[in-house]
Amino acid sequence: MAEGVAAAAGVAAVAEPGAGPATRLGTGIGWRPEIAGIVAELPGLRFCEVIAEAIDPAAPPRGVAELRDRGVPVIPHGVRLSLGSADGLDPERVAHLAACADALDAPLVSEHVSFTRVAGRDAGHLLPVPRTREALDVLVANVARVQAELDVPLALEPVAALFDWPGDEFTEAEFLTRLLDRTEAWLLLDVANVHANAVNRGGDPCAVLDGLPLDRIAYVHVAGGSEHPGDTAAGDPGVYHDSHTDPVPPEVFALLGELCDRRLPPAVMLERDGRYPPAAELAAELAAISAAARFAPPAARAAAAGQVVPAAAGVAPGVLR
Amino acid sequence: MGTLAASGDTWGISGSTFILFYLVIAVVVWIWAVRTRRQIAGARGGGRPPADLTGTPYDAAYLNGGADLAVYAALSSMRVDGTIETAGRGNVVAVGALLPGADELERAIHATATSPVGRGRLRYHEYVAAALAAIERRLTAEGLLVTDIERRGVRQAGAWMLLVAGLGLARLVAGVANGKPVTFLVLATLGAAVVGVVLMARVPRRTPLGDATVSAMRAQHHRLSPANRPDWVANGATAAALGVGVFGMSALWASDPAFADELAAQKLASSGGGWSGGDSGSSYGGGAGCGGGSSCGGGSSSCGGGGGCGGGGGCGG
Repeated sequence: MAEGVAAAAGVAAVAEPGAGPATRLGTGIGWRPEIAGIVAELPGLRFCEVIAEAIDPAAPPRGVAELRDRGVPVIPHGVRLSLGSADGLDPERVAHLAACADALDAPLVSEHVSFTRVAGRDAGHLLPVPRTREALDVLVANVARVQAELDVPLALEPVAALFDWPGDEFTEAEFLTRLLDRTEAWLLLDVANVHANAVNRGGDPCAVLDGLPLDRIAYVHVAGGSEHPGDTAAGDPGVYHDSHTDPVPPEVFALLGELCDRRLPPAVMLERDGRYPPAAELAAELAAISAAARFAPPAARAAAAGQVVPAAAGVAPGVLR
Repeated sequence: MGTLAASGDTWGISGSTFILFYLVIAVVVWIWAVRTRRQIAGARGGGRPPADLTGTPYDAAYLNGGADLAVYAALSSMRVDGTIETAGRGNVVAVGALLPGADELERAIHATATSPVGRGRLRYHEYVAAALAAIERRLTAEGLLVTDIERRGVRQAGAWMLLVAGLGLARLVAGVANGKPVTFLVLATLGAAVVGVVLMARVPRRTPLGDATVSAMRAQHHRLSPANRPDWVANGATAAALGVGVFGMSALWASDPAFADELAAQKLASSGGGWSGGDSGSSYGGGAGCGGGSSCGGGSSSCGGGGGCGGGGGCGG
């Protein structure tokens, strides 16, 4: 498997166990048409991710095609496969994801550990999967089906959820570890989701990091959110909303730091889906992520207040493709 | 028919000979007129590469959609900068202070809109009109817009086609008075009149170099295409100006529909007296997208009616 990933020569390649710092890729961003002009101009952009369902593989957006042609790895990110659905996958959606990977020369693709479809209807939301043996079997079977159609590795992203299903048989870390072990899939770790889950469902986010197979990380999501204070008198504990439309809060940066203390991730990217800040602010946020993930040399990190530091200057291009 | 033909040919030329002769003349004049207008419009700037107007987005807007689109592009940009706001009923009003590097058109709009001004009237106010005239002079000097003299030349070439129609009309009148069948001649004269009217009414504003520049700008700035719904806060005020300038009003509708909506309210209210520019609008329609295009369309059709149907009306007689 490790060899196969290396052959794919993309983001996941740098996740090989024992990988040295020279195989770390750097910082990326979720490509969105609204900010296509900004993404194209970002200095030190090492990869990007596109929402697979927003792409027509036969005619990918010109901005995405340009990045691909520039040699920037593009990762299709599925949001509607519904890997947790017990009634099976929609073959068209699986084929679409595979076609996106082909069209974009993607080094890998990613999807969520969730279900969005129940009895053929779309929930329009990434719902958490109950952490039971039965659900695990469903997930493993579905993931295997997707992997069979893909020519590239698959990374799985645990979602943010406001609740746990009753009757969970595993902790989240146990559940994910088993899933990754049985499927040999990679981990797309969203530190903002880990933070959101800790705030909303209780628990120690660092303990979650400790329990996860960090050596299986393909890349990391960082996103902004907002905290809505509750009313403790009324029994409302408040909620952290993983909005993707707010700046990345300090707690998420801190959690990214905790992750890096445990293991340096191969690649980290910002997910921003709306209420975009001016380009300079967006670039500064990416620079901050780059610094927090320790991609930039310390000297450059200190100067990173206003501009993106060319991330991971030492990466050998041969690792990419 | 045979008995009628025997009673003497009009002007001493038989009907079939005349119609043949007439068609040949009409086609030759047509080809000559079209080639002449191409030559005149393309005389300056032929062979030069398209201009890059990225640094002057309002010039790009004017080239693409005329004065109205330039004003829309400036308003869009100033809205992002927070120097203009809508003031109800489609009016706009200046707020705050302009940024130091503000463009001449922005400064003119800001100075004009110290109290609420109707969007559609802005371009006629002194400062704004002067700024727009300066843009037009620049574009004309760069060989991107056709000069007034060139436009006259193009129109004159079209007038020859109307002359051909006039000849057909004269023969028609004589033929009818002579009791001759005139069906073919009616069709041929009508055709010549329509071609003449179109050639005279549809005088291009842009030179071929201007057309090439608009196309090249669209290709260069495809990331600001309305299909992407570019975010103007993130992309900045200049990108807003360029987006509207290069892609027309659809860019405004895609990126700031609320603002577009408030401005369009004014457009509806003033559309009656807004465009009196006649054929100046005719060649502008294509690029301007929805808003500008529709008002320009009105301009060209009213011109067609005015100039042409005078000639066309003769066909009936």
